[in-house]
Amino acid sequence: MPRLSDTMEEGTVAKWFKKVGDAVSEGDILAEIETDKATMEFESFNEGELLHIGIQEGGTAPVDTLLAIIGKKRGRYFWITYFRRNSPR
Amino acid sequence: MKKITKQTYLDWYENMLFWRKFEDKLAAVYIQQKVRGFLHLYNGQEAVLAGSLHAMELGKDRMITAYRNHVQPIGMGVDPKRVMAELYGKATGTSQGLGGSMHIFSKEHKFHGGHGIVGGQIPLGAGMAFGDKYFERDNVTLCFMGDGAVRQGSLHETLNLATLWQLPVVFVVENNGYAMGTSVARTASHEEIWKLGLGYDMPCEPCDGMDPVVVAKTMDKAIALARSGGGPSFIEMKTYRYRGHSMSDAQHYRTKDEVEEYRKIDPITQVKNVILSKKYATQKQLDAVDEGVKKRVAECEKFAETSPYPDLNVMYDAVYEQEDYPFIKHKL
Repeated sequence: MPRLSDTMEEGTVAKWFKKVGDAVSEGDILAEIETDKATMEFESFNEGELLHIGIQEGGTAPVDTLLAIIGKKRGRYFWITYFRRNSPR
Repeated sequence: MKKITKQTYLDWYENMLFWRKFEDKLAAVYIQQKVRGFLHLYNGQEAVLAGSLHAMELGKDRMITAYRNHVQPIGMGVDPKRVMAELYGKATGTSQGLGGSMHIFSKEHKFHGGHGIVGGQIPLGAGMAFGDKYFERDNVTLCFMGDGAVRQGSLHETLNLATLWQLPVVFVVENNGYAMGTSVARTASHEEIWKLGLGYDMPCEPCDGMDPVVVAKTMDKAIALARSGGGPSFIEMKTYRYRGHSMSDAQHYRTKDEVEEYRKIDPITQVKNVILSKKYATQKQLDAVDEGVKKRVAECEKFAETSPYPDLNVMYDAVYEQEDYPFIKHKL
């Protein structure tokens, strides 16, 4: 789950625009996500194939939860989330 | 003005593309929580900076702007790795990681921020120009602001004194159409912002902010006037930003068609078209530039990722001069 606003703690997937198996290019809108402020479009910063959807439509999850995996099958994966907070303290 | 040559176009292409990819990278790492706080990106407005830099004397002239300020210092010669590190809050950043996204500074390169208060940089810019005039230096200050900032009182107080004292400053409004999510039309009785200069008897004009050639010519005229003692100018760059005001902007105030319309006059595409039609470079050569840009951005990211966070006591030292303070321990 990406952080789409500076105060966002959790998000709800309102709509998926891609399904597993779809090709994804940089800049493609992957999903609509409801944040604490508004419903935002979430664009992909990677290209490849949508291999896995971690949060289904209507699902709510805290920031950093696995949202999707984009990559090449048997290739390198780009994880659209991070399990660990990248903060020093 | 320096001639606009084949090399100028090639430089513009590479620089503007680098700025855009740099900002795209920041958007990507922001959602991964590697860059915190607010993030305002410059995508779409690159021609304003590219044209202005061409007209400036780098190393001599100053620049000051608001919080959409990551790529200006890069254009003025600051190492982009250090800018990226600043956004990451790392010790290797331009302000040792204490400034963040809205506060990039480099006194050495005469880039004076990076200001978070809307319109706050306008009197500061005039003040720097006053200093240069007072000490009889022939530097010119370029003071950038958004279309929202021109509705602040600070602009009007500053324009009045800048004309009165004939300060060597060029006020540049980057009118990207929206003050956060509010269009100019909704907050102003007329949309020709450049006309605000008329009330202060200041040379003023609108300018196509999507074409670096037009920007360079307009800025050259204004800078030359300021340098020769002719006083300030007020220029409205008509430009556009593709991304939201900040990262938390859902952009419900405009249509996708509108954004697509502006992409047709995208500054990078315009420059690319000139390069290809005048055969300054082949598509293959430009592809190589694209690859190089991608690599350089990746290097910035790697540098920022691997840099250390500042020591905790740096926070103290940046605020207090004395080694210890009665209420706060120096070594945290």
